Amino acid sequence: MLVKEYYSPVFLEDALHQMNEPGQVKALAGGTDLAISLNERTIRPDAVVDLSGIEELKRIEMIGEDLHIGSMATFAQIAEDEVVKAMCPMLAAAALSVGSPQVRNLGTIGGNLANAATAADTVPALMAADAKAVVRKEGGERILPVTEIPCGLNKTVLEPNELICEFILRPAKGSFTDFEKVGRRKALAISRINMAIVLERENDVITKAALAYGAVGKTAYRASALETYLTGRKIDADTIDGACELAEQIVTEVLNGRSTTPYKKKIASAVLRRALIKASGGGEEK
Amino acid sequence: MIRKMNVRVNGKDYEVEADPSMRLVDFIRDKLELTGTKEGCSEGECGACTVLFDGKPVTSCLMFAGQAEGHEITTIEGVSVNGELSRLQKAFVECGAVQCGFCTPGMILSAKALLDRNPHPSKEEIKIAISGNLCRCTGYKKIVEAVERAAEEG
Repeated sequence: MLVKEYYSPVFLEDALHQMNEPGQVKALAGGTDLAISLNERTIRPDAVVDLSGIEELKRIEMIGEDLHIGSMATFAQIAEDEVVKAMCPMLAAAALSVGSPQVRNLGTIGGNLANAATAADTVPALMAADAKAVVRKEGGERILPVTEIPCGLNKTVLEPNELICEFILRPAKGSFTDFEKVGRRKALAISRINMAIVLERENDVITKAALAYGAVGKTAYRASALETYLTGRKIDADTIDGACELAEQIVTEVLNGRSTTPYKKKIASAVLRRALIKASGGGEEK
Repeated sequence: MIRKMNVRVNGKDYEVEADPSMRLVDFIRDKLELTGTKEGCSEGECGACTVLFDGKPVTSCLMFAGQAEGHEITTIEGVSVNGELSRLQKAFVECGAVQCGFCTPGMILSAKALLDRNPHPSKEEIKIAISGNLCRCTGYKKIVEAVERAAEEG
């Protein structure tokens, strides 16, 4: 017997209540990480709250100018969703790059953030999109920028009884977005690096840049020095070279002497170069 | 905890006393005694334990039995039609796409999920559909050919 209680709530209110039960209570999203930890006995929770029966957490919809994505939306659902593909293509691409078809049918975007693996593929995309997470516990709600949620390897600032309920992001019209990933193979690859980028431009000049790296350091993060560098510039060979050089510096600083530094700084600049060339050549404009 | 669980597997309704926190692969093999579903890596990498969950392929080693309640599961035992191998299964035999056979149930279920929604897939679409299933014997050429043959014969 793995846990004392296995809750299968249908309503969010019930789930929030069950998260306050005594002992260690774990929320079960898709299960692709939790099932392994439980099976290997690396965690021994007293209770599991299975969120898969709560329909309201699976919705994806535009409300006004904002895209709302339920925390229990699966990677497959996000990758195939016409609204996400149109409004935030880098997020659809990030979701499509996760694991295998089987894993994408189970894993969820909320679980991806809550599990806080450094290589989580949808997290840089959420960060670059300036997404906010609606986090609830019984009797309380707070809205946090996704950038503030991961705080270490597999660690978040969330309290044990809090659930991520949805993500809200405002897609910028006419912006360029891209997601890039380097893995050891195409399917089932844990990212050696991933990156999401948003560029807004007027007359070819970048007016706003948002860029997040994952799998470099303990959590994904926004590379604000690169954003500042890119803003106000046109994408030409000099800009690309300068940005790539800066990317190498940033990664070297973040990794602070780790043995993977020579490799990671090269692939960090390579994925950035790839994205900027796409942006200049009209690659994935929307 | 043990509770009464209701699941629908291969079109049949089961009511079983079981622990919902057991893995779906253990529930299927040990509780329902449907041992066609294989367990390989136990961490979602190999696809041997693939079953269809409401028609979509999932790795049953990464799921809890409780997640299957109220849903429709298809295992390899549910693929044959009236005791006869399905078109897809026959194609695997005819093309020599089975060697040791351990990956075959999962491979066939991933291919079935593809063909059910896309009866005439391209070679590339077939490769993507089986990208979560590892075969360590024959390689993938004959497996892809088998799926192509099943698709041609519709």
